[in-house]
Amino acid sequence: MSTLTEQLKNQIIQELNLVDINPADVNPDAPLFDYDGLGLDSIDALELTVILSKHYGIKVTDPAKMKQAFFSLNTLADFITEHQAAAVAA
Amino acid sequence: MHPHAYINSIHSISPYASDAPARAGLLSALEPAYAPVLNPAELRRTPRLVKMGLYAATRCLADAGLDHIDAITVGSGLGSFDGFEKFETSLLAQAEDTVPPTPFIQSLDNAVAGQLALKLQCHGYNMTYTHRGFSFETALLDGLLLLTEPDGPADVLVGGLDETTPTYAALLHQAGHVKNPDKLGKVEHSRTPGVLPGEGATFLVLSSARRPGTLATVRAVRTLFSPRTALEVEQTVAALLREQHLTPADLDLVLLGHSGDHAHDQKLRAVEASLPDTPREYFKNYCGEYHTATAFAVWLAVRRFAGAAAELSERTPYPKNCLIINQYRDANYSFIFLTQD
Repeated sequence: MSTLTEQLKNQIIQELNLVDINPADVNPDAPLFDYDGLGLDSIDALELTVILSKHYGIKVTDPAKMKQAFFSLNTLADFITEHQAAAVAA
Repeated sequence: MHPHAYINSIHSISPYASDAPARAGLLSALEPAYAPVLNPAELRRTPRLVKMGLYAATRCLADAGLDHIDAITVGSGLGSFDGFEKFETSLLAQAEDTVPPTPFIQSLDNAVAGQLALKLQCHGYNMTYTHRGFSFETALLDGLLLLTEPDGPADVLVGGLDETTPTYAALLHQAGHVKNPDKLGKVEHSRTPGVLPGEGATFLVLSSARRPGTLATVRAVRTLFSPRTALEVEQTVAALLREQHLTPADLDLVLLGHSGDHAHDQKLRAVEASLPDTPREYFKNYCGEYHTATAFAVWLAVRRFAGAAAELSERTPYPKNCLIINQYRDANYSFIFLTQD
């Protein structure tokens, strides 16, 4: 598991106050918005956009594109990595 | 005929029986374990006051044997101050940019009534009153009036709740509203300025019909804003008793809302002097001062009706009637008359 994925996992658990979740038990490929994963809901999606802005400087401008990015921890880490690479290239 | 209604269950989360005042300078509510009553999503996302309210309301409905409710009325002077603090702090930290939505949603005064409606699937009447020291009284009055409507509900869930966070306590202290720790003592003996801040969440099921387990009857609710003299308060008490065909000698128990601030309590001291033989209790010794402390006083009255008043008076170990007289910052005076019959 990448350092970024691990960092994201801890940030999500802390900021979304997932009190009973042990980071070691979270599967980075499991769907975030499904009870097989973290069981997040629409308000949590807004909280995720705040995490992207606060910790990674990423502004969500096209919510439609976020469905894929918000699928799992790993897809979210990929989205951040791509965004940061694009920012460096620019 | 004045509207009256029956209290068929009541539950309160309060500092009652806490030894907090000697330690902390504010009375903190003794919070229960929420997990048996609130689901994991409610537990993680809900701020403290909303949790207290959801718990008290859920327990209250369970005690009344109800699995749904037709109407909800709630009073809160400040709403979830904890949620407000989190929202404001993140707003400042993020320079008014993207901020977490949850504390904003939960900081609204009507978050408790709204969350309750969602939890109970109550699509009926839902109202929150934020009328400072009249918040609970207004919610109670609204409940009473709803029950008198021709097509009104049979039961109304009525609540009063407020919290004192460390930040709010610090602000009260800065404003000179908090009593110095070395001046703490019984509110009725206080001759110094300042109060002991408190908090609590109380919910009751108010019904139009008496049931076998009915705990008390709400006979009258009155409010009086900013009386200029103690005489105005005394006259309001006298008028209320007259309407109930009672004299002061008929009162079994009076629960007084002295806050401990010597200036604000002056009129209540005059009023209690006019009821010299009535057994009395000063309920803010147990719950502290907050906007909706009278909700706790109603819970205390019901408890006294059940026989927990033996230590107060040999004359009335089981009081049959009780008058609650409260003041909030010498501006909001309220009077709630309850009976057990």
